[in-house]
This record gives sequence, C-alpha cells and structure tokens, in this order.
Amino acid sequence: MDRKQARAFEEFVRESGDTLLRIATLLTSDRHAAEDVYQETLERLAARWAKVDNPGAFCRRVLHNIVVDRARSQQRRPRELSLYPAADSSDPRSGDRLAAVELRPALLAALGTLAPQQRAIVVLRYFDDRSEAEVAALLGVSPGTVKSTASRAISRLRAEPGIAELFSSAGCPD
Amino acid sequence: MSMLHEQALRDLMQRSTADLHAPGGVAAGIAARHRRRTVRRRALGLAVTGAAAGTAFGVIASGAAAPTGGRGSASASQSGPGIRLTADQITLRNLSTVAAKSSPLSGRYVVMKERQSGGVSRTSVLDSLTGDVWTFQQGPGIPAQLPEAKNDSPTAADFAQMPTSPAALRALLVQQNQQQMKQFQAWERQQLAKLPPALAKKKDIAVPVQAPGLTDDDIVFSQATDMLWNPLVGPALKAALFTVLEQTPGVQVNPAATDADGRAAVKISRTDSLGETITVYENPATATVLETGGIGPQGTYLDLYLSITSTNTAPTASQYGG
Repeated sequence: MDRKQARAFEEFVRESGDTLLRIATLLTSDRHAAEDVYQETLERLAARWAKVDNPGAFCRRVLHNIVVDRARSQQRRPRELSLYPAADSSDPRSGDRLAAVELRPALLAALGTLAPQQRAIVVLRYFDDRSEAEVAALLGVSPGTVKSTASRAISRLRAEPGIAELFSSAGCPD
Repeated sequence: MSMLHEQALRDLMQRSTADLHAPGGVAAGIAARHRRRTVRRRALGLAVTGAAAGTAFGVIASGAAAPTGGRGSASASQSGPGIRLTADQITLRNLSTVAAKSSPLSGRYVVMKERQSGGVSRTSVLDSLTGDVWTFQQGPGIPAQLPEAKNDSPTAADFAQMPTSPAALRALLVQQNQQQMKQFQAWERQQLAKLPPALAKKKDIAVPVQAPGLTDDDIVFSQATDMLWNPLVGPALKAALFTVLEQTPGVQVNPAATDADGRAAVKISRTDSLGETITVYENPATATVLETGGIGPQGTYLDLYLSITSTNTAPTASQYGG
C-alpha cells in the first residue's frame, strides 16, 4: 500500500477498531483470542486494501471466517503468540467498566455454548445492529436462516443458568 | 420471540463489551509493514528509454490541450489550438518555479511534524541516506513509538537519479506503479499459498487479482502527489512533479484556498476513475506541502504538515516521547 492507502487504512481502524474488537470478543468468548483474531483480520485487510470496496463488511466476514477456522483446528494447534504486547484492552477510565467486568464472563460463557455460525448471527444481528438481510449477505446464508437461527439462539441463551438471571434483571421476566 | 428479549440481549452484549478498546498503534504497525514491502524498490532499476519517454510525451501533449476543468475551461475554450495556458496551469507552473529555486536539505535527517485526523500528532524522522523512517505519535490510546520502518522511503540519492524531464518522469511514475503492482501480486500469491486450502477458496480472501481500473492519468496523479509530501525529493525533481501535474488532465487547482488550519494555500485535487478524490495543499511561497487528504469509497483521512526541518544529529526517541 502507498502512503495514502496506509493513511486511509489507519483511519478506518481508528474509527472501527473498537467495534471490531468487541465483535471478535463476542465471537471468540476469549479476550486474548479476540485480539489475535482482530489483528489477523487487520493483516488480511491491509494485504487486500487496494481491492476491498467495503472494509467494514470485509472485516466482519473475515472475523467470522477466522473464528470458524480456529474452532476447527483448535485441537491440532497450540495457541499462537500475539504479534503485539498483550496490552490490557480494557480501559480503566471507562465508567462502564464495572458493569462490563461483572457481566462479561456470564455472557461470554453463554455465547460459547452456541455454534460459531449461530454466534455470528446473534452478534451481527443484535450487537452490530445489522438487518436480517445484511447479516444474510455478510455470512452467505438466507435471510430466513438468519431469522430462525437468531430466534433459536435467543431461546437457548435464555435457558443458560448464568444468563437467565441477567435477562430477568434487564427487565425480561418469563 | 418478543422484542423485549432481543433488546435485552442487545443491551447485555453492549454493556459487557463497553470497556474494550482496540490496542492503539496496531493499525499503524501493520500499515508500516505492508508499505515496506512495496515502496522501497520504486526508485530503483527503472530505466526510461527514449521511446517510452516519447510515447508518454505524445499522451501528455494531447492531454495538455484539453482544459483541466474549473475556471480553466473558459480560458481554454477561447484559445486556439496553440499552447496558451489555462489559469490552473499557470498556477502550477508558478509552483514549479518556486520549487526549482528552493534550497535543498542541509542535514542528513529530516524531522517532519504532522497532525492527523483523529487527534493524532505524529513526528516522522527520515534518514536521507538509508531511507529509514522512525515514527513517533501521540494521541488517544496510542503508544508513543511506532516501529522503525526500514527503507520505507526512497533515499535522497534515489530521488536525485529520477528524470526531471516531464515526459520521462511521467513514464517513470507509470512504470513504478506497474512494478509495485507486480510486487504486490507476487506477495499476495505467496500469502494465499500459505493459507489452508479450505480458507483460500473463500470468496472474500481469494479474490482473483484484477486490473485496478485506473487510467494512466489517475496513476500519474496518485504517484506524483505521493512523492510531493516527501521532503527527500530535491528542488529539481519537485519542480518537475509540478510540471507533470500541470500536464495531467482532470487536475483542479484553486490558487486562493486555505488549508484546514487556515493557512493560505494552493489547492490541487483530482478525482480518479474509482471515485477517490486526492487533495494536496501547497504553500505558494515555498512549494512545500501543507495538507494532504483523501476522500473515497474506503473512507477519508487528512494530514496537516506543521513543520519540516533537517539536522545532522541523529534524533533520539526521547526527544519525541518515544
């Protein structure tokens, strides 16, 4: 990439990096794995920058593909070392930190019980606020699959012991 | 499923990740490594033959007769088939004259301070002998020192070897781009070969290498403006670059613009075939860059150049908070 492309790439990451890392965290249920996946995604984006029309969509697809690929090879490969120092990506200045730290383990554990595609559908549909059609296009499935999978995944999450009470505390009694 | 449950899940996912922030500097580090693969060799091993230069000149001559747009159109349409210059061309010609008279760098190291969109202050130190670039930056959530990029820039000597005849320089810019594309494609094939076959087949990764859909004029403008910011470019080459811009169709010039910091500037911009607009603001008195920016389908960026100085003492990281 030339200097201009490098700048546009950095600017994209500056604007979208937090969201992409959060998506990676929800997809992997593991903050360190999430940083690895996030960085690998950016590596692939940088390699193809000149040809990528929609960097946001590209990254979401690649995040999901890497997570699926890792899930398949998890038993065969030891965890790779991060390319960068494992800085604590949790910002202590954030007023939401306490809430986040308390909620995260239960939510990530519950998401971890879903299959990778189910998880990707739930995360893109609700966390990333994509429409059913957008999620379908991103993951290469039909909108009907998105709708039914999201519905089943929510029922399943609500049945998880750790998360049932979070649902009720969020004002969703059964 | 009730809307309430969807909303509760949305809320849970947002609250449980709200404190996570992407580690700063990762993007700049990745960008620096990807730049290193292609940029270094751009200045080397490129011989421009007389024939190639002649061909390029033919293209330019026909291009120069066409108005460059904007205010230039009116004056050009009034002139005959002669060589009367448009107002835009005169402005660029003046910049070329100023550049030719500017003094070359006196020290080995060039220190360039920039302010970038996103609230980042960046200081780059370029070694004119080796082309090495150190970058230091300060901004929200960003570590002070970025990796040193070896050979990230052509050296001052590389630039000094480039032709200063506009036709030959234009031919070189096109040739450089072709060489960079070939290097990029070779590198990309290597990367794809490393992926597991199942992944390499996926559409989003294994996109076939395609022609980028840019014209020679698009490439010339992009390459020329990508050299204009570089303080290792000497007066003669810089003057020639402005002349190349003067002869490139589609270039828009505003001689009385101001940059994002309110400094008086000549604004030079052009929109390429893929819809990206690249803009450069030049100081009319010194022909040095004040601001560069891009707006395109992939996003926008803006860099303000605050100062460019040179020194013979190797700067230390601590000077810039590294």
